[in-house]
Amino acid sequence: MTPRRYTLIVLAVATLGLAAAWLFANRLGMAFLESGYPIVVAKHAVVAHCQAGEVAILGDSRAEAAVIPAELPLPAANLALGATGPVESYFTARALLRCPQPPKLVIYAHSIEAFQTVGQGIWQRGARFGLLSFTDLRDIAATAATLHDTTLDQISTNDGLSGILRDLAYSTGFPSVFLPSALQARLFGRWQSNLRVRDAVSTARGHVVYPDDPSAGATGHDAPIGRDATIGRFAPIPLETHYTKATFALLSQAGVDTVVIPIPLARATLAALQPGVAAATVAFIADQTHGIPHVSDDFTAVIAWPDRYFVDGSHMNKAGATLFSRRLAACVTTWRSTPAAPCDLAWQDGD
Amino acid sequence: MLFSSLIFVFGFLPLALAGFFLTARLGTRLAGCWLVGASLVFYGWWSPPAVLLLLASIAFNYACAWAIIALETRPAAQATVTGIGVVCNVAALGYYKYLFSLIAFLHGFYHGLAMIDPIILPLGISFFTFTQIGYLIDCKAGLTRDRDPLNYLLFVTFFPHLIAGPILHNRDIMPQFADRRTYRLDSENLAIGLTFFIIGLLKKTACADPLSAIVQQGYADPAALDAVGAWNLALSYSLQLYFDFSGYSDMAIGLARMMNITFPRNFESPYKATNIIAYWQRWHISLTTFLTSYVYTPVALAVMRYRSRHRLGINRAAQQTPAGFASMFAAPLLITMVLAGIWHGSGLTFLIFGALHGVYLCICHAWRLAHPNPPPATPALRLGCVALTYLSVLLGSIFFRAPSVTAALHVLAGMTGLHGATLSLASAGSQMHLLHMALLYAIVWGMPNSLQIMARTRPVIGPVEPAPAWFPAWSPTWYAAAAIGLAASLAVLGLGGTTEFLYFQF
Repeated sequence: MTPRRYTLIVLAVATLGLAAAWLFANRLGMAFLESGYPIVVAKHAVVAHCQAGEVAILGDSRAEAAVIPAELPLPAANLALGATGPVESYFTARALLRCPQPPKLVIYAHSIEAFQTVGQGIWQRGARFGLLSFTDLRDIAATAATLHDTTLDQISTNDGLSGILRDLAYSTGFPSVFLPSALQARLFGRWQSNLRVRDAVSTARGHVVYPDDPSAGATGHDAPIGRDATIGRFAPIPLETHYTKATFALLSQAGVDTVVIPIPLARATLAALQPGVAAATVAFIADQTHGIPHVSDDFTAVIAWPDRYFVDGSHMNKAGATLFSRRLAACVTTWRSTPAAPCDLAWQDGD
Repeated sequence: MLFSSLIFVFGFLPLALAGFFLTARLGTRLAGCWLVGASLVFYGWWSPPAVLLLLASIAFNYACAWAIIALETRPAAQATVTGIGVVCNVAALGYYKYLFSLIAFLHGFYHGLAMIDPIILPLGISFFTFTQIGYLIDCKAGLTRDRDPLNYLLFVTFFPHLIAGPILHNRDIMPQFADRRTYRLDSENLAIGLTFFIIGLLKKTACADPLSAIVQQGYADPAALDAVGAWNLALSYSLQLYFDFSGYSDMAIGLARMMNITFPRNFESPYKATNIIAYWQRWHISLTTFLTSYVYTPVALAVMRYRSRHRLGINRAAQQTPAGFASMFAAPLLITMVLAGIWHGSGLTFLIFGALHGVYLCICHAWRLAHPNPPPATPALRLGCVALTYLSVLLGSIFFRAPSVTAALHVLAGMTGLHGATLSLASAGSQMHLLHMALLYAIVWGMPNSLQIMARTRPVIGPVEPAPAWFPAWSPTWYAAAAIGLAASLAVLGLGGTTEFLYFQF
């Protein structure tokens, strides 16, 4: 065989192999991706098919665990996603508004930490799971550049990529970014469990039950203390601040009522919170919502519920979520007639 | 830029190759300039300002070389210029690599000493500095023939060796850049180079990188390791280092070959060595050659001349006396190996690593002097020798990797059971990890190396031992192409978890 033909065959086989891997990674994610993926798939389907109903919940893992849509008095969908922040919520809100009949009410709830960090999740979950497109990622990068926010540039992913190449690799599903998950799952090992998760999340309209894991607390204290307690001071980054405000503006322009609420922390976590963090967060939310039509701020305090309703000091267990959702249901009923009406979600001894 | 990054594989390499052969059609000088430009882009990818330091180093050394050659008829002046050149190179290396550590070390004893900010170590400074020191010494010795500035630039900056070696010798490389045939696309060399590159990439991404998490975790808290955990850590690192460097060396050979340049050998199954001398003839061969030529031999010769002048004897009988052995073997070996150790880094761990290998080499030489006619080695004896050599190297590698001497001692304490000796397989990691390790050991000790597999292609400068008869040697066949193509797919898939080459930090 001539060397030229040899080289061509090497390149052809390599290309075919990569194409097969690409196809596998992008078409069969359910087979091997981690359990966050079927949750995203379930929620993405709700948005794509415009089935969010009248109330949509946007936020992160704490909102995802705390709000049970079935307990609310109106058709609702919990579109909050773990390990995401205001950036991802903006793009979910934008997708929702493409529907002929978008939700009438959006409940917006991010944890303190979500405003002051942006991590690998933008690519590892947002882009890899199909939540963010290449254009979205470039929008985010351009916004960060405009704001002189270098947080994105400082994040290193294992692939060694950065900038536009990283955005391209993750948003096009280049197979190498899936390999660690595929190996972990031994290619098809997560198929059944992922299908179960997807179906469970779809049935629960986006609510995710967080398993009890007492060791998940930040400090190993008897009553688990959540990650929020590790925050030294509240320092929101420009990128998350921008997308928080942009989400409110977007929803406001579309005439969708938005209410920002606090999701309860465990009492042990609140007690361990650094002084000033809670007040600074409340002030920050007030600043972001101030003067925007259709946006109400019910985040007037960082609230705490009894420790028994939490799996790890931050995320509510099923009993906590049920009680909290019932309290929220009463508020939603009020908001239906009076969107700006204040609503107290703090623990009351009668609960 | 890493050889094992998506940007290199799919962006830089195709562009660099295409540009090289296309510009070569317009002239070899233009192709040379293209290659220098591409190499500078490759070097500056992480830190563009570092290119200025590289260029300054090249300009300084070329000027020194020019002066050394011009002063051929004035040996004293020539020696002075050579000395200045070498000292300046060593000083630059000392400044970037050792100054901060030295001041921090002294600061521990004398707090009045002002601390300085950490100095960012330019990538590959040890490699391009050593390469150029060798050139200056060869200029002084009248061994350099090609003095073309473009060929010199190519010799120093050629990207396949720029950041992590091999340390090239001008006599091996500059004539190849002067040869017009180098600038013609050769489909056979392209096929051979591509094959080498893919084999190296697979070693890096599929063999070395998966071990990095275990090694990082282990060295983050070595005091917590029990016996199984500590052995797992030490063995994992020894394999990670082996496949990382082996993979890098294959990739460097392959990249150079694609551009019709043949590199010297740098890595040849070191864990198959039956003694520590053979180990250093197989591990980082270009560094061993450099240190032998420019440190060990001059020191040993100086000692022998001194002994000869003072009638102390230099023959075998003299070598077997304690004083003779200490001066003619132990001192040059220890000096060379301590330098080899601290060449890798400024910490005390590297010094111990070098000294340890110096002691190993002394023992090995002493044994040879005491047993000049050893009996033929039986398979069992060979196996024992390989095992003993590997264990000695393993011990050194703990100091080589550990962030501090204390951490290294913790690992050693763990390995000897001082941190608990429970036979818990959980400490050894997952079943997948154990299977991976077993497979890697099977490759290390059961397979011929890349050079042997590719022996037919004359992959490196000098002779290559062929693969054993039972192993099919490489030739451009359908099945070889399909296997290498498949290996390429797997290697590229592994780029998602790419980590830096271990030798980049030196």
